[in-house]
Amino acid sequence: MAYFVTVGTIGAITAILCLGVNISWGWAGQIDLAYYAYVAIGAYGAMVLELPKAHPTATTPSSYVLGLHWPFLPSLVGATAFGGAAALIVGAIALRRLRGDYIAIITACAALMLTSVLSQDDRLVGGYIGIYGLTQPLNSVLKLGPTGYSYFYLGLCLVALLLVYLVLERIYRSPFGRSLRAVRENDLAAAAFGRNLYSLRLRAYALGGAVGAFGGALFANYLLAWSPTAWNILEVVLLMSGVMVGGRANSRGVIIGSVIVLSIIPEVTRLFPLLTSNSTIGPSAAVIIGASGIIVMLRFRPGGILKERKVVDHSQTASLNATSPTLTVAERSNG
Amino acid sequence: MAEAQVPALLEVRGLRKHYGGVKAVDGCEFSVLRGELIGLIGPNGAGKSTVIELLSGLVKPDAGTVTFDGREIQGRPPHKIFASGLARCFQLAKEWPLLSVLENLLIAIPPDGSDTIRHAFGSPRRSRAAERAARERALSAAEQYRLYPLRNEYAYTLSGGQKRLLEFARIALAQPKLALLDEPMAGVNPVLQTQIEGGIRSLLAGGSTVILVEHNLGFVESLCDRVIVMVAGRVAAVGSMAELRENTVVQDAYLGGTSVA
Amino acid sequence: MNHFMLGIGFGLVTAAIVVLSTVALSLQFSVTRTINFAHGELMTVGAYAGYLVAQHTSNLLPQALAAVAAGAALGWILNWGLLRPFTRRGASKLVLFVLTVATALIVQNLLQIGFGGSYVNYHYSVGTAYHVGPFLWTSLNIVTMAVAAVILISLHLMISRSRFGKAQRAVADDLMLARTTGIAAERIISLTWVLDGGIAGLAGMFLALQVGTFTPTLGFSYLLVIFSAAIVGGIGRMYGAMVGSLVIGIVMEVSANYINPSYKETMAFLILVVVLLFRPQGIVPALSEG
Repeated sequence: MAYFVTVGTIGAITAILCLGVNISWGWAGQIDLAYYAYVAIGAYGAMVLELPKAHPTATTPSSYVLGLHWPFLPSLVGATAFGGAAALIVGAIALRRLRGDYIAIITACAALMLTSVLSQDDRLVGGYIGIYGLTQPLNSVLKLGPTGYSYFYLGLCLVALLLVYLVLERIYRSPFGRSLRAVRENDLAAAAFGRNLYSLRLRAYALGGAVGAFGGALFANYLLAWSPTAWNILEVVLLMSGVMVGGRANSRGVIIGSVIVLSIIPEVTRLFPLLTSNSTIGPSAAVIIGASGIIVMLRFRPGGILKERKVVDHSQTASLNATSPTLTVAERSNG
Repeated sequence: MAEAQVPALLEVRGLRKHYGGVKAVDGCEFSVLRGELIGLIGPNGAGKSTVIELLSGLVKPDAGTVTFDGREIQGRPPHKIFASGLARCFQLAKEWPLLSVLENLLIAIPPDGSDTIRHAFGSPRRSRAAERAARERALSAAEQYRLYPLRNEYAYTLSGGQKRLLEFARIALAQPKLALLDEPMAGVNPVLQTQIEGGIRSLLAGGSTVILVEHNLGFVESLCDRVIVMVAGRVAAVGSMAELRENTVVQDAYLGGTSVA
Repeated sequence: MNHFMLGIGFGLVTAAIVVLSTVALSLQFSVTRTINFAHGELMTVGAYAGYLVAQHTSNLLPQALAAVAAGAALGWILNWGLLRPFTRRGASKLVLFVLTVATALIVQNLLQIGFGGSYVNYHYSVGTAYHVGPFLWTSLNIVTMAVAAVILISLHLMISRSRFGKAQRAVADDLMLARTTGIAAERIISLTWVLDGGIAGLAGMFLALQVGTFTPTLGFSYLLVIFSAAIVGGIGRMYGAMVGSLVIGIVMEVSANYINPSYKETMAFLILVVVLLFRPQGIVPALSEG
């Protein structure tokens, strides 16, 4: 049972990360290779806000900035803001004049520069050693045992996922989401109808960075430690793969795709070493299958399992003036 | 035609755009008065469409000034030009394929700053009222252009003619001071042509000024008071169709080669 | 000892490796207009191929041939097996780009399964160091630069003189026109990928020898340095790529004298960001190079 709680918790956090990627990739049509940097900023940010001042000693050599000893929830908000602000800065450069593939190159450069600074300079966030020593958030109040707490944190992450889902659905249907989708579908026509392409793209990009940082903060509070671990900036492709498999720009589809590509496949491939005696094969096989998934989806079903959903108007022809102001979202009926 | 002594709505001076060695627009000058429906004609490659691109800001001019409503707008970004009251339709209909027809229409209504992330949550009463008003306008435009039953369809599912109507309905919803219509009648059947003609007249009745780029000279003659003839990137002549028929420059460059009804 | 001049000397060696890879990338880009994020993996497979052969012979020539063959094979597969089915259906540039990113991840993880994630040692007896003017170079350094020079000259001759080069330029200029005038465009594109892969594979081998130990992320960690050089020189322009590589290589090595050496790649990215913002067409003006 504990196994499923672990998979569920990480799955919920990963689904949040996929929803964040879906903003730049699904709504706005950009490739953001700096996304993992925002996840890391959220994780580090939450930790340096929650932890007390660093006291590097011989046994715990880790040193870091801030150390404000904030409670859990304000730290979560602060970390999210850090991610959004970082994305705003990178986006302001990357989106100014550049398009398509150049955005991907600039964001990749930004991510690599940040990774190199954070891991080389051990005064910022502990360098290669990283930061650890966080205590389980909120448990000083709850006083739960290990099992009870793991259930609590799973619940917390699921609530967070639901919250992110609802917020993003609302934005997707709002005038902002509509303008953004128009920019994705045909940017010149959107500009000709008064949309400021740069501003819309930048705001979407910052929103994506904030969601990534939020997911990263939840992740750090689950692992209770964070370091420039082995993740590769290219693995954002796996998140994009989750988005593609589930259905680009369809939040429900994105969650389904995230579960398939980033929870089920890695858990299945975890069993591979039992078959082959090669101990490193599991994670690699999961990445290979996930990356192949995006190729197969692009080739055979570019729309994903669930298609992008349509914003539908339910007013009746006869009563045009009594139009209900709510627009609902329905599954796309025709392929 | 008597030249009124009121300042023109649009004043184009020395407009130039070269692509490599191709002089697409080369010293183009003309002016448009308020409330006018002016035709813009010329042989293929005369630079009509480039002028539209330059005026709407999608392409930056190499030189020249464009004064619109008392302000110079050349080189400004397209969304600012739109905000100052100049809207254009495209020669090839540019709908947003994965937005519904209704959403396509809603984009055409200036958001007036309500398309922010905050407005998806904050000050709900005001933004909801604005959104409701916009939707009602969009729905009545949909009804006017016979798109109401299709309002929930994806725009990419529309037929070519319906996309033209959608394009035109978007312009009408924008209520621009100046509408640039780039061949709105191209490739549509006579029923739709009548509808679009009615649309152009209601644009004018609503106080808009219209520049109509059109190949069908019959339409131009029946609709436009004044016609600008462009040849090789410049204005060759301006006048009524009747006057232009007498103009030898125009005959040589353009009318001579085509049959005028 | 003049550290600055020594830095320039090392910069020239780095530039020699970078230029091989960058010229290959630029050639491929000018013909196919696809930004290949798996370009680093062409280098990585070259490095591993050279490493495998080095277990049997210390002679550099068979190692180099293996590196060329491995890179060329991956380049061919990448085009024929992956990109071509998409380009034939008119896929967007963004889709092609995502495909190459996915390929990069797949190749990295296949190598990870095959060789493990830890460092492998790949050395060539460097021999003695020679003072050449103000520079200090090992024999490996000199071989690297000589090979780079020979390949650049051959590429120049091939592009300007041979029929293949002319056909390549035609395809680069206008694919549809080249098709209608009877040039076997698909074959030219395929050969270009093979050539790209071969040269990149060789560059990967030299890079691996230079650093001595490497992992499956060798090429990827260098990819953005290559992009920096290509874009600084003006992407798709072969002679620009040479200038860009010199700039990037020398800045990286000279800056290592003055700041933390692990930031030298960051220096390359900084140059790239500045160039992209202020001169996205590259620092080298478009020459009449076809």
